[in-house]
Amino acid sequence: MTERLHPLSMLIFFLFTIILPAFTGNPYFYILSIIIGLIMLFNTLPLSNVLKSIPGYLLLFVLISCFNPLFYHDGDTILFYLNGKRVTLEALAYGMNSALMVIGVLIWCRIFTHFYTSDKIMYLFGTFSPKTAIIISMVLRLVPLYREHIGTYRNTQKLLGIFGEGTFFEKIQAEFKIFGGFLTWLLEHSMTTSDSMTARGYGVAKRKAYKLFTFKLSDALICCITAVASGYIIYAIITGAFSTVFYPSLILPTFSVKSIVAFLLFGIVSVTPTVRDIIYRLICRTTTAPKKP
Amino acid sequence: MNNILEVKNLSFYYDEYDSRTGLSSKGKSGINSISFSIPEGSFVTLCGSTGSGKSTLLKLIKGDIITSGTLTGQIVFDGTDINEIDSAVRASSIGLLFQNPEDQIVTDKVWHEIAFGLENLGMAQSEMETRLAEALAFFRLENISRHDTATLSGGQKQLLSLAGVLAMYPRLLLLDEPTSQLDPESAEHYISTIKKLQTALGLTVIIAEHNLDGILPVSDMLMVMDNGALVCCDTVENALNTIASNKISDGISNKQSDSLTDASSCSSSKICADLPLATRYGISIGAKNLPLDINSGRRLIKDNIISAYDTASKPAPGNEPLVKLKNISFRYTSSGSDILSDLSATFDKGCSYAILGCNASGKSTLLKLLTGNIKAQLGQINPRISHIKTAYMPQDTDNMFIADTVEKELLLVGLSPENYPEYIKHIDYAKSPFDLSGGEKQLVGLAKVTALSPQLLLLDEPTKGTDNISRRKMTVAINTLKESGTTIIMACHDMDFAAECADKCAILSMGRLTGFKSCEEFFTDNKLYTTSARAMTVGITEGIYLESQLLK
Repeated sequence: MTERLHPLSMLIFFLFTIILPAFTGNPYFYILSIIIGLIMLFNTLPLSNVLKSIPGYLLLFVLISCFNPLFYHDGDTILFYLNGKRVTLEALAYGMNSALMVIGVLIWCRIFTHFYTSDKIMYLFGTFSPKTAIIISMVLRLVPLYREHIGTYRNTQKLLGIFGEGTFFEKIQAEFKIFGGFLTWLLEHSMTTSDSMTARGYGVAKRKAYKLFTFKLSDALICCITAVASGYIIYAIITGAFSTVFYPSLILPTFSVKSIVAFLLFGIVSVTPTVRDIIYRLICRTTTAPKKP
Repeated sequence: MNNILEVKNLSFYYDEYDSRTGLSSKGKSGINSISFSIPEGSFVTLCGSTGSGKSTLLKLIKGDIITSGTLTGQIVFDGTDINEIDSAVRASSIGLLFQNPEDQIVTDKVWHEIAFGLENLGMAQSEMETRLAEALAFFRLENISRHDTATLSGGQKQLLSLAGVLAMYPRLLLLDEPTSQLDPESAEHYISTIKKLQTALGLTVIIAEHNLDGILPVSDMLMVMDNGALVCCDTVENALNTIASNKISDGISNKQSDSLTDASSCSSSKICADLPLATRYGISIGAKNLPLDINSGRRLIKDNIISAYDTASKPAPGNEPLVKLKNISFRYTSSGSDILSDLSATFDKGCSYAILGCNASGKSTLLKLLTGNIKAQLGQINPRISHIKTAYMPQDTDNMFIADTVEKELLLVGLSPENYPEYIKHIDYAKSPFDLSGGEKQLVGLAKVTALSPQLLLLDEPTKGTDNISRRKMTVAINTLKESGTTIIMACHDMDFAAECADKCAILSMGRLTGFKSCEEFFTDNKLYTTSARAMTVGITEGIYLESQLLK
């Protein structure tokens, strides 16, 4: 269901979940964003895939958390001395807070790259500039193609003895030759591509991009609630509803009506696609015929 | 019937760029005053040797592709001069497709490739959707519509390009050797799709091809070009009769000495070499109704029973093994399936082997294993590959070229013009290797690998994209090499070629090789998977499997 969101509303949604929490500076907000992000990750990617990456996130958490107190020694509460330098609770707390932020961003970015396929990027560019879209599409095709070709080309030349038993310098020279040969190949072959484009009328009329996605009511709704929620959360950030004080001594943020509403709004908006996916899956399960024994 | 295309007195000269003066002048002639007309809905085959101007003619009819050069004469499409037609209309109503499957694809997704032409025309979204759906349904590409174009096979890519052009609703389809890079099965499928377009939709098709085997039976008209001139343009039957009576063989220049072709009555004519075997057989016995396919060829053979034919006795090569494979298993990824499983084989010195089999059966993989470039997970190769001097010619010979002229290319492996082997002497050494024809590229490639004087020569699809003349040159080259003691292993689809120049053949299937048999045994035992000469004579005259036995 989420993969069928319109690229524009999907972009707005992900900007909301990736960027907005980072500006709150609030550990509870980060934890909320991580929890919802993980739920969505578990719901979209295969279980083993997600589980494999959990140790990585934990390691990152530990590294970033420890990094700050090792180099930053302000703060009233001294935990212990390391090499004669103070290690403080406040610096540690600050490190942990940053680590939570980074991990939240990483999790949401991973979901973003899963859903934001080349089709969607192309669509967005296509609406603004159909010519840019076609260039992006060509690049997306050619980069892996060229990378693969230069590999086979190198191998073939190697078998033809271009490297010989030369010195290091001669080998570098051979690599240059290979690259030159590859460029010739590339030019020769792109002639046909260019002919093929001309033959199919590239440039004869004002180009229009084929739209793979339609903007539905649900897309409009998602855009609206995301906009409203972002507005309120930004207001809450500006008015200091989330402020956390780390130095000189740690004061954990308190909950106010304002911050609770902001938490709720963020939670509701960011969990919506997951809920939609789950409901859709349930509908599919009940309406499709059971497997024959 | 009205003519969809009329070409009147068309001549074309390429511009020659003088690098010293920086001026362009009227240079090499591409087309020499050609006139013909094509009735709507015909299937026209355009043939002629390499460099005869087939591609140039197709590109000129399409327009807009060749931008520099001098054109005289007139091209009339559906009653209107081509220059007076709106460029958008011209782009959509005349479709042009090229030889190389990879190069003519523009975008990264299958659906986008089909939509590409429609987008260029600035078509409305709803109409694009309908046309995309139509094309996906007609070409049965629906279930790969969201795939990356890079994941498709060569045959699928050619069909996709065709679908992209068809979505623009063309009325005339120009195809420039579209099947020469495909394996036989995909080529057959492609031709039958084109035929379906012509019969079911009334499209006019002009298809340039070297290998006329599958095309001639479905063609209505045959056009023959030579050196930029149109030698004949007539119904297939008339055109063949003209060829048969050698009327045009004199007109066809013989700059490539044809001592290599077999002694059939039409050996002087280059065009004859590209005709299907059955037709050549018909010409050689002077039949009135020339057969176009194997089946009608068989009928002709029944009426003219062959009593005497040469038994193709090939000298038995020595039995000294060069390399032994024992229980080789190989897969590309750890979770993938085995490409080769428990494959065993022995390759003798000075013997040539053909490994046959369908696409993706592992033929290329086996060759790559023998280059030492990839290593088998299980099994032994004895002696080790690094102890044997091997040379490898890949399927895509473009990968072998690194210099800007043929001469420099061959100098890299220590070959100077005076030492060039006979089979590349007709090639223009000053040309860039990329500008050569498919057959010439293969021959230069072969010269390059043989110059390394290998003990073991590996050839991957050496006949891909070649014409019959180059194939024959290659046959002779391989037979000479073999005599000098080189072991040759080739992976190929082309059974006629394998029969001509391999001593032993086997099929690679389900990851292993059926035991190597001598060529004669292999092809005369097989009834399904065999040469055209054998297929034509199965059950009529036993023991014939080579073209030369049939054509006298």
